[in-house]
Amino acid sequence: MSTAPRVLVVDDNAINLALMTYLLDAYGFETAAAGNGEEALACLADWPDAAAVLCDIQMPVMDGYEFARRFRAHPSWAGIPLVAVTALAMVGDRERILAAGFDAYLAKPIEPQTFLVSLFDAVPSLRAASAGDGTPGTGKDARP
Amino acid sequence: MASTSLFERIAEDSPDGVVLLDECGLITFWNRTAEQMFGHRREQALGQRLDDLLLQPSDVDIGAATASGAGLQRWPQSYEAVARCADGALLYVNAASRPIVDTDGALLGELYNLADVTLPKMRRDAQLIESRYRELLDSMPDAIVIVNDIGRIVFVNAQAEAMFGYGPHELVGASLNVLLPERYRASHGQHRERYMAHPHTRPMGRGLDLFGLQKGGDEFPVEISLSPLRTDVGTLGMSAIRDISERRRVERALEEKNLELERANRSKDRFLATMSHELRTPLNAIIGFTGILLMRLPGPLTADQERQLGMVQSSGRHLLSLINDLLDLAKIGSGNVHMQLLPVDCNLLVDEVATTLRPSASAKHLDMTLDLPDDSVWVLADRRALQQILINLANNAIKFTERGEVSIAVRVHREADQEWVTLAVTDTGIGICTEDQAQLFQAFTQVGSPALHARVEGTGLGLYLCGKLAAVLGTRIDVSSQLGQGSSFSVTLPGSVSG
Repeated sequence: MSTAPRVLVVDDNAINLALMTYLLDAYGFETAAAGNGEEALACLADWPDAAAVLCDIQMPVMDGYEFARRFRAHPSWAGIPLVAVTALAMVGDRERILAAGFDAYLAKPIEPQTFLVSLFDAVPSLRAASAGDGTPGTGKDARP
Repeated sequence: MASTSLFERIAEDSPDGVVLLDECGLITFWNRTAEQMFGHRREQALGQRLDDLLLQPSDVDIGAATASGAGLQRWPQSYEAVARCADGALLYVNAASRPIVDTDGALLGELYNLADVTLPKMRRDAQLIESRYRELLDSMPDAIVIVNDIGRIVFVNAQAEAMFGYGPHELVGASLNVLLPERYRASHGQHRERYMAHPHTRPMGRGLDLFGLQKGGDEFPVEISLSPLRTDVGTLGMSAIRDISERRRVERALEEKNLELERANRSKDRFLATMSHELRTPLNAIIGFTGILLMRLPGPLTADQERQLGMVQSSGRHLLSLINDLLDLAKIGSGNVHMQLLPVDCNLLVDEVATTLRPSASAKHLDMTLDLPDDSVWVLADRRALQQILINLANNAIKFTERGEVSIAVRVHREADQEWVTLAVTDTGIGICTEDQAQLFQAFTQVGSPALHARVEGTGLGLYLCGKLAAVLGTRIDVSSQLGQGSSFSVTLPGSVSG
């Protein structure tokens, strides 16, 4: 049993998934990846103690909006922060996404050097959970 | 009853309507002429009162009168009246009545002779109007139709005859109904009678969907204004009629064009949103993994690797700003920027912009100073557009300044009772020569030396975008600069009371 905080990353693009999980691993999080909302719901069934869910919006099968609706309707996941990480970055997208039930919104492309700081600013509980300050070092792949 | 039968035979063929009332005032005889004149068949007329048959309760209002309802008259009477036919049309009638008494002088009933004088009266009225108004009304641009109190056409000018497709004088004497589509006739009659009871001038009725009917049966949309015309022969109703087919056609065409444009704009919006999303997705991998490599998360880098990855990273960022600028421009180009003109607190806005850009200024050891009035200054603008203009201007100032400072100032001045607010970004940078200043706001233009371009990154779209945004806000960007001394870019907007 790992004690590292768990973050679920949901994105239909395999490269984006690889990028996010690599980065989060480096910062000492345990990550799981899901390719769409439906897979994410299945993952969460095994992971009710997730520290956060980072979720894309435009995905096949079940998009981020529908995922947010079902995620929010589930009482046992009520405390888990839900963050949108999306390439939808036109005027109004942020508002629309936050209104759909996301706690925070981060636009792609992400800048790895500042991503974790932005993520921790958006979800303060994650900073506490990672026991870090947005600098890498505790992960298995991280090299100081 | 041979005598009655003889009377009937004589009366039946009289050119007048012949009506016999009994001692109670009820109709006991109604000849064929009366049937034809009023449209009531004998069976319908017998046993009725003359007033009930030829007047409607509302007719009292329009001053129409026929045989008095007071009862039978002992003396012969002769008068002119207005009578209503079975189909609702009104007629001018000359009525003559004579009492019928028996040898003892007892009143047995009354005999009525009713003559339809509508046409002769109309002809007289028409001649009067014709001689008095023809020249005047033919010179009017509008079609003019004059109608009398019973809804018959007394006068039509040449424009109206042409509009409705009738020959000269063909319409005189006809009911106004012939110019109306069937479905409007009943209600129009009531409107007209109410109007004639209280005639007043009424301008062209916009918003009302009215139609005229041509002789050939074609309908066309019209606009009508009414005015009473008081003459020796009574008050007439004059209507000026305008054929608005062409206007309606243009309106419809415009509407369709608008819908088409809206559809085109919507699909353009969708296209832009998709482009934005699709271009950002691969950039995420490029900028993301370059960043991870530069953070040395996978392992150490040689100096060459770091320098080259740095170039990938800055190219990726450059591509991102190009995409952002191009999408913004495309939206402005398609008229899809939704400007919300609201009071904006300039001091607050400048403060925010300075906070955003201070890190990049400090990275170049430049001072960023603010010159703000003590009290809040408000302008009427779209906050996002104004912020984007200021950020672009300040960003440029930082880029093209090597030492000294970048300052943002807010200044208020009055001119002709209007308060104006100028937001100016001033630097102590390289400056721009006069020839180059003219080209500053063109797309993909970067002024200055090639060596400068190699050193300073830019899309060539920043100022172009600022200029476009300023234009959408109804203003422009002013420049004053001296080579080697620095530049000042400013935007001026009308002041506003606080939000």
